[in-house]
Amino acid sequence: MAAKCAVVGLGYHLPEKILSHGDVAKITGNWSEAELNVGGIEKRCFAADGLGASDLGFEAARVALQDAGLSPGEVEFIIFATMSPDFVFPGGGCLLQEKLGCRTIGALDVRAQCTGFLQGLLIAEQFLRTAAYRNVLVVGSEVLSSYLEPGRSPLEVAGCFGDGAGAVVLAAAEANRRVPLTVVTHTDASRLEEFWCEFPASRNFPQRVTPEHLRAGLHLPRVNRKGVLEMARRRLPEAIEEVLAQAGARPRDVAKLFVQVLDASQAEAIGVTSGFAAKQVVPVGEKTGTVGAAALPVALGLQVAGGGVARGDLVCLASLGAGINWGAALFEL
Amino acid sequence: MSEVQCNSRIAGVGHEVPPRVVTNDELAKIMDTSDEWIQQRTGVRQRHFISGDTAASELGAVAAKRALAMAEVEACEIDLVIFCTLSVDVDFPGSASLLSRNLGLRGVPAFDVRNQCSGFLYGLAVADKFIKSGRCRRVLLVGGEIHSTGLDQTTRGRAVSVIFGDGAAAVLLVPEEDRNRGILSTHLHSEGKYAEKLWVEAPTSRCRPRLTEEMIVGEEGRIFPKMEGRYVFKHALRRFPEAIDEALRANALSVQEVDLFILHQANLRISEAVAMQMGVAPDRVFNNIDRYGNTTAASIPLALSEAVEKGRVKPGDLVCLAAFGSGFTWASALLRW
Repeated sequence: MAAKCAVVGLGYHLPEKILSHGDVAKITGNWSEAELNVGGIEKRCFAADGLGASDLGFEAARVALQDAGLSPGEVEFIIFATMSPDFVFPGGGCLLQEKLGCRTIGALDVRAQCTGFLQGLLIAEQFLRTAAYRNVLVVGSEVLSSYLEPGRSPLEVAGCFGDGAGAVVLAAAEANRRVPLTVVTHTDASRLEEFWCEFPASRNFPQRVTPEHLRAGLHLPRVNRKGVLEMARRRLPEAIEEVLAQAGARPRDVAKLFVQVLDASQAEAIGVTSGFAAKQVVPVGEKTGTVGAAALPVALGLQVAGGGVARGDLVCLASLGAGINWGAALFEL
Repeated sequence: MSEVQCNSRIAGVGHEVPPRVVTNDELAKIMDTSDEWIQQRTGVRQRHFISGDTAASELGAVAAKRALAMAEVEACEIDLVIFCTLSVDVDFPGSASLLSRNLGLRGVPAFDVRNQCSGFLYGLAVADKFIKSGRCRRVLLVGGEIHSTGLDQTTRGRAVSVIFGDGAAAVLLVPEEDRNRGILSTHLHSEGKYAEKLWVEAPTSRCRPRLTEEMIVGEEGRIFPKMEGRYVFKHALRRFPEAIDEALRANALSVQEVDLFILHQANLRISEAVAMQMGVAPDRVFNNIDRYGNTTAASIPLALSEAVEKGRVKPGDLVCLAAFGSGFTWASALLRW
């Protein structure tokens, strides 16, 4: 099958400061080291104070552009996905445009929480397939440690949230690849309160956030772990099966399946349900914690760096998170 | 190599605003300003504010139902939902999720576009590509904002607060086989150098934690919008004409061939100056900022919806949409109705 669009560059960035559960327990104060061990996570990285999502995204984007052999001036479109933006507005896309020194190209800020990166890939694919652009830089970046508050962080936030960024360059591919980039995404918000953060809430009359909301902790993320994992066990195999079918691929054609879910220790079972062997499954977040829209490209970058996957390999990425949004992508490295 | 076989076309449009009207005189009671000052500088006479808990996604759902009715499309036929906003219903997930639930959708992809004043045109560009590529056939694109709960409605915040209003508007996009009809082009731009000329800082991922009581109640008012108006005005007068020219050149059309211009309703004085600079008579520019204020991502579809209602847009008309605002971002779209 002729390729329509392909990943031609990949980069990731993790902050230098690495924390164990013990380190985080000292910061948060309200959970013990043992209690924080809830998400199948070994360690996390926290960005230095003052750095926002666009700063981490910039580092990842630089590496991805270098990998693709593109200069910032050649980038035709930016898609930036985050749930922890530098500012309420404007979005990180235009901040990245400035930091990279791109021309005054379009910079789309997309918000789909943990599936933001997959959604970004799908959007990029449409722009490339319609020849609107010849290349698109897709960045997922998070500083989720900014949600932590000493003494009061909810367990999932304290035990899982971390910082990082990943980026890919997509291009209309002329060379034949076995499988073109294929992406599926879905949303079912009927149970959105199972993973959400309510305040600031523009719907709240007369002021969207007050000191009282903060004192009540309504500005902190809330997670119903059981409910989210239940949905993941059902929805992720569906999405993985769907993306394989669309691309005409089988699990055995795929080198690695990356599964991003609230609890990394659940990834393997989800992969096995989807017809993969346990050794094909990469649990996303073990070494980085939950990094939202950055999780999949970071996990992929780590695998490439560690030799777990190589150019030419088929990889499948799957994610479920707040929204509730879920999806999967399949492409050749 | 492109696989494009069709255009996308706006088959339905609708809008909804909260019932409460707030006049300039009412604002003058709570901050040091006047009807004369506001009208002279912005052209705003009144705006709509919510009067109890109301979400942009609720207004958006009403607007969406109107757009669906006009297009004669059922909600269950929608295959993509895009919500453009800078004033989200809740911190996360994005408002597209809440809108989807309001419309009873389950499984249909939904995401937010967060591109401020240019948000609707960014969303339109994305929606257009999903249809052109053949991926989708019924895309719901909504712009919605509840600004009133985020404004500093005191004398300190008056320069920004008098401009903005609440509202939502929706369009339903479908494939159009005639390549001379529907969305003819979209162009998107950004320049982050000026991000802090029109912005809301907090909550901010640059701080640990991202939101504190001090950010809410402190003298800096870090949760409230800030604008350097002269800067925005100056850049708007450069970028609006540039974006419009780019659209016209891409289609080998001239300014004189455009039947109606709908510019982001940022400030009536900007729209007037842009029209004058481009030699466009006022009767070819549709404005409604006098009654709604600046509704950011909702302003272009809200104006389009009213223009259609009033018979200002007829089949075959060439309509030019353009936006400029926070980011800075700017964009244009040309469409044959």
